[in-house]
Amino acid sequence: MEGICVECVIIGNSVAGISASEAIRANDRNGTITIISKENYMAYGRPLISYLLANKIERDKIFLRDENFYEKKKINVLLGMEAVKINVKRNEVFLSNGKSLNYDKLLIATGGSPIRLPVQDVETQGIFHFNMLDDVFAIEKVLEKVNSAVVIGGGLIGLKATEALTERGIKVTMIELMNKVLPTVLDDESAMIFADSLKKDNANLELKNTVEKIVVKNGKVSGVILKDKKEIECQMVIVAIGVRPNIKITEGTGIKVNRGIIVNEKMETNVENIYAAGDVTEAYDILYKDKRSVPIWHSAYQQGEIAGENMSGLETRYDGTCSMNSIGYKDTHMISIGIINTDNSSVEILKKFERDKGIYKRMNIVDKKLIGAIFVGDVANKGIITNLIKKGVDVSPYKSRLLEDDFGLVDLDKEFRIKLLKS
Amino acid sequence: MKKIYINEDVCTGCGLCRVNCIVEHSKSKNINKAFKKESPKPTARLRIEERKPISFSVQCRHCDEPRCVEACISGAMIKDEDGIVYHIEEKCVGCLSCVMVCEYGGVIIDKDRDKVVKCDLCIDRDIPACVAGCPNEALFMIEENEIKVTEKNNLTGIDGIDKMNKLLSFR
Repeated sequence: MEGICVECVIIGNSVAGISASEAIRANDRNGTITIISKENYMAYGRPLISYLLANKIERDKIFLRDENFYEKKKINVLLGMEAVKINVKRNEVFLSNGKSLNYDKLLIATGGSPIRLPVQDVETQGIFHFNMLDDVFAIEKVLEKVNSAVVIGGGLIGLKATEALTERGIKVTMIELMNKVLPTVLDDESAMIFADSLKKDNANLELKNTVEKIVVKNGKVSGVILKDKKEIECQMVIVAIGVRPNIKITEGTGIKVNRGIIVNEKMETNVENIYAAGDVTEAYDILYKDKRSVPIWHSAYQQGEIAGENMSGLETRYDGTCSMNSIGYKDTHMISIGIINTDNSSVEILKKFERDKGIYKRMNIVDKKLIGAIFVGDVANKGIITNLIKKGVDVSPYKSRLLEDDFGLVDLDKEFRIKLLKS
Repeated sequence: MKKIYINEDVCTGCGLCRVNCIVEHSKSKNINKAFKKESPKPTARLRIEERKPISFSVQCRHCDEPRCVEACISGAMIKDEDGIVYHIEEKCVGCLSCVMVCEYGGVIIDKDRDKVVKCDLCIDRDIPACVAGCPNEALFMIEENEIKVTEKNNLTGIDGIDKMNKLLSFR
């Protein structure tokens, strides 16, 4: 690309934006890269915020790259800046400070934002979201005055917020609408083990319930009233009821969106020169064979890389994503991959449940292929299973071994194994 | 880049690779102290799979496109210019995302420390401890592009049937 100075603008400074910027720089030494970052910090690991609150990681260790990363890669990073509008005809991005940036290629990597409760003056009343570094700092400021807290939402974020708060000595009640915790990634049995773990930890769990009213006294949270009229006293409420893709920036651009921005296998949107990557997208899902929102860290990294490569002239294609989560509550850990709850009547389900030992294994098999799996308790080496799911491998030769504790590479077809180890 | 490979047919499952790895990554570098005194006990950076008569060790492959680096939520896994995938302990929170994506099971859970460990190719040594201590030369180091596969589907760094036979019959 001699003589051409390509201007790349990236909206978003988290994993997708960072991996895109690295891919661009690897292919294009001279083009300009500008990252627009709404938050005031260098790129950090968002999922680390619960570990930060729990004092399990030091503040200076949460950043994704070295302090001289932006300088070394010649990336112009605008911290504390928002992209407010895109003028597609003029290839221009307007910023919150009134200025604008021209682009040859634009990447939207804006991630997602927490779904809000319809309550005004959220933070000052002791009501918080759990999504950003600033949320942790705001929570820590008032934590000393908190004896008990309510976490609304028993999903991935709600669970980790509960874990962090109990670690800090707060009495927590977690309220979940569905009949189990982590309802999108676990089944009933695996969720039971997590419920047991919460109970052992003296954290209260309210299932099939919801907060109807937040009680405020003197401008501060003093409790909640649930749908079943139960009253819970608390000085803090964490709202963790879901995350929505940040697609507001696409208004007026003609970019095709569903819940998220639709992208093809090159992370292109339907508008020329505009790409999208990470939690904001709906990209091809290998297992559902359709475009879906799969907001997981690993996908965001890979999508960012593909977007960056294509933005800098290297034509690469994304194979597709599939849901996968690795999460723990204190000593209880799970890995959940692929399709867990399915309507498909031809799915063969293998299970092993030892509740008292905190162990659960489940395999979902369709047409001889693994389409989903859950592991609780024993999660060692499960990347081997993830690979079988992603590659659509015929597992029938060793189906009877899949639930065994020592299932491993040794069970795979030797040719497949040797090829794997050689590569 | 030179990597560690194993010939399944020659591996006896003796477990010395694991012992040598533990000693190498211990504080004392002494087998008695490492196994009997150090607490928590140092964790081996490899694991052994066995289903008699097959056995082999598995360690990090230092992949060209390491999934663990992509999946790590804190940047604790990094691929350096020398090609080695490093794990930075102070940045690890034990989320096990790396375990979830490593198709080899090359990342080992370190339960005592609530983190993970993995092979670091013993960069402080000439030859990795597991390779150096393998009594049957089942483990060997070779340049990636020189690795071969025998007719019997075994990994080998050796050219020629004679050398292979010699290796098999020697012990």
